[in-house]
Amino acid sequence: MLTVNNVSKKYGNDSVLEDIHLEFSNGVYGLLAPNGAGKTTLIKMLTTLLYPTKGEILYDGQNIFSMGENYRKLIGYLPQAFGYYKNYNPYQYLQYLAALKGISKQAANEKIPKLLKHVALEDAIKKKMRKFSGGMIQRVGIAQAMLNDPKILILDEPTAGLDPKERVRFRNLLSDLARDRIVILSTHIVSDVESIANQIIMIKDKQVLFKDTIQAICQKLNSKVYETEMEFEQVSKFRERYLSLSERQENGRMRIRFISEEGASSNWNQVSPTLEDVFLFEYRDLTLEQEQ
Amino acid sequence: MVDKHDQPPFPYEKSIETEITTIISKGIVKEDSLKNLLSSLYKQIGIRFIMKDYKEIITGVVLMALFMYVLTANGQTWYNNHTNYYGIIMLVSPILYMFLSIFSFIQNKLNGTYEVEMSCKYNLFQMAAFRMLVFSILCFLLNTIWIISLALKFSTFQFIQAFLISTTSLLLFSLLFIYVLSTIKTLAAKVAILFSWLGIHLFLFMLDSAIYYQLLESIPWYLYGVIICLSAYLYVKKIKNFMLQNKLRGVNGYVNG
Repeated sequence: MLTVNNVSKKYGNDSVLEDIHLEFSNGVYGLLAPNGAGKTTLIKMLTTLLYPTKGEILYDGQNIFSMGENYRKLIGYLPQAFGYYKNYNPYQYLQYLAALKGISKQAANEKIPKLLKHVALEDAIKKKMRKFSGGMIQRVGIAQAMLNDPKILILDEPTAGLDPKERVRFRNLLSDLARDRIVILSTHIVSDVESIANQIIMIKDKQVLFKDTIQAICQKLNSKVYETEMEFEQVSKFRERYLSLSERQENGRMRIRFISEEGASSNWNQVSPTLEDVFLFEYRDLTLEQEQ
Repeated sequence: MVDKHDQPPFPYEKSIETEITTIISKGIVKEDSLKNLLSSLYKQIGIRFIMKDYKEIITGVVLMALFMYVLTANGQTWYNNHTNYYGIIMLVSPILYMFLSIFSFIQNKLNGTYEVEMSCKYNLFQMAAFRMLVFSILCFLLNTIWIISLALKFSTFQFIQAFLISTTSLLLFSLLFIYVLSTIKTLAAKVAILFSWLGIHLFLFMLDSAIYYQLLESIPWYLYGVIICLSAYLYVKKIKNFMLQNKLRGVNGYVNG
């Protein structure tokens, strides 16, 4: 069990996270928030790369910073910007990281080909990484994170650079892995976590907004999400009144999915809220700020 | 209800003490010796990965050896009788050490591998400590060979004095390097401080070579000896602390991004 106990983080006078309390047991946790919300800071504290300004992080009751290498050998980490040595091929790079992770040479040589096959890089084992595409580099990153069969797998924006097919393969891989370990997946892309996360953690205003199942989080918008059709010229006025979630043209008219907290009109169809609806609703102010 | 006679007998005082001692000895993390720390790092990671930039290391050593050869071969034609060999030795002795030790950090920064390497069981700083120790020995040997060749070439050259100056310079710089590494957070600041060491000596050398020569020559051998012993002791002690700190506590001086 990994516990984040009232953790706060400041950079100088700027507070990034305040009084974060979280508990993780085996399963996939989707850390979902817009860019700049503090996801990476939280991830860096979970990987011992940053010390919390306040509070503590415990693994099975022990402070992870006191555990030192005994904690680090339990984790697998894919950072947001995964670096590599350009002259290495993936096999060499994984051998190097396996040595740093305390894995014996023999065990590493048995494991690396399997992992590279798992991430569909078996044909590029001996190819220099400088020739790799962004997606291929990311797949090497995923493979290295799993080298030590980690008890805690922490992935920061892991699907960046992956094509749709690779994303599906990656999700299936994670679902498989999460049976007997903690998987924490940070992202701002809802579809990355929607189908695989047991729980979603949302951060807003430096604090944990939700930590719950997708169904429970979606309940927050129950009876508030609707769809309707209207003429194109009516759309801008409608947007001023309601939060538009998605819009598409259909039969020469505009079909809008939106949120209304005031109650339904006769030509509106009430629909089931999705995680993306909640995301757009909760971070609507932030989206507006970014647009301005 | 549990019968009083079914309960296990209360242990004797001595067996309680034995149990407590066992629990404490198992619970306390023993502080490894430097030799054990280095040997376990060597066995686990292997020289192939500790010195993974061996091509650059060999190139650095060859270039420095060549530079020393040029200095030795052309010394007589370049300088008058007051040639400040001691000033040159003071300046040149730690240069190779500096470049070799800082190289992996620069490479790491350029390739963006810092976060991955720092989150592993054995991290970048533990390897850096091992490398620094190896590099100081390597540079000490190279400097000594250079001084021997200078002593063979120039009759006025005092081998003992030059050897003491070179070793003092190398050890003082090594000590400064490891303190900078453990206290200064950004790579740019680290590099700036280390280059300023060279800058100060270059400035002294260029400002008044003769006075600088006299200063280095006037320091008695026993004072050099004391500085060498003290800095060697502090250096090895700091290397050990540095390795232990990174083994137990995780990241050292990490700055976001």
